[in-house]
Amino acid sequence: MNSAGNDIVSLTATNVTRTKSPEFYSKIISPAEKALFDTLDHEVLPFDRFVWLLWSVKESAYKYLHRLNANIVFTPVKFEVRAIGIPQGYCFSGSGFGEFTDKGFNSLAAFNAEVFFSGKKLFAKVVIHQEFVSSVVNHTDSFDGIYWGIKQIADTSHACQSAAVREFILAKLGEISGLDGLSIYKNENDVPVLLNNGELLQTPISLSHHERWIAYSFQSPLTTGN
Amino acid sequence: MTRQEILDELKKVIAPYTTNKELLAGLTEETDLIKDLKINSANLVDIIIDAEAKYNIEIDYDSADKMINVGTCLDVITEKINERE
Repeated sequence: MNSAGNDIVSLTATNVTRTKSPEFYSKIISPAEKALFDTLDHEVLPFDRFVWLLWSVKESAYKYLHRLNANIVFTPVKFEVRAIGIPQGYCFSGSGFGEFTDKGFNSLAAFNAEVFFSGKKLFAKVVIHQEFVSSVVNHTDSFDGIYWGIKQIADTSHACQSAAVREFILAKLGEISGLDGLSIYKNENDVPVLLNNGELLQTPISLSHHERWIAYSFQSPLTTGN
Repeated sequence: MTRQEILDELKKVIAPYTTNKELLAGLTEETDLIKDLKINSANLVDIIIDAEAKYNIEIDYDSADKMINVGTCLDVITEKINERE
């Protein structure tokens, strides 16, 4: 089950009052997930961030599974988050986050989550910052082989977001692979795929952007279609 | 409400969530909310909530799944208005 799924939500683009209203969050989280929130430390994870954490994990899980099965539809409440782990000694980060790239999640405190859809279980790592919630999912709880990046950009137009996130991931892919003919296009299912000089690579990639934030994830190693 | 009246109100619901005002002015039934209007997926819930308030309807999960383009949005809203009446 080799795929990729990530997401980023710009918290400055969300409405905290609306997020906390039942008519809004009930479209995203289930009563069981609301009960899960009641077991967590609300000082560390206030309700509005909890809602967007779940949204992000569910969207990442959807992207991961949609790449494997294009018939899957994104209905947030049908993706169920059953566990959230708060990183030990977690301290809410409020500044100094212009760009960050890494392989695995060993150098930055990340929340853990488990999400289920139609009998499938996926694992998630979530980075929460004052301005964003960003998640990456995988089919195992090991993220050691997953590259990911988050970056702040100045121009929030859709065209610039889209170009910037492609430039961001291609720079990393080029750096680790040495390939110089890399490009990205979206296939018939609206899934981003990677090419090298026109040849399809089997490395699944995932892209996300929201307002001033862009993010990617992909799984190493890069392999060709043959 | 006629389909055109629903569409006119739907434009007002969608407007805050897209920067593509030119395409918004010329919406067709085939206009896709994410691919064409570039609406962020995180705002789709906002649109559903706003549509519920605008038309005094409730949109369940399965119906919300269908609201991919303008035509399917109009279908769902029309169906829910008819159920209400």
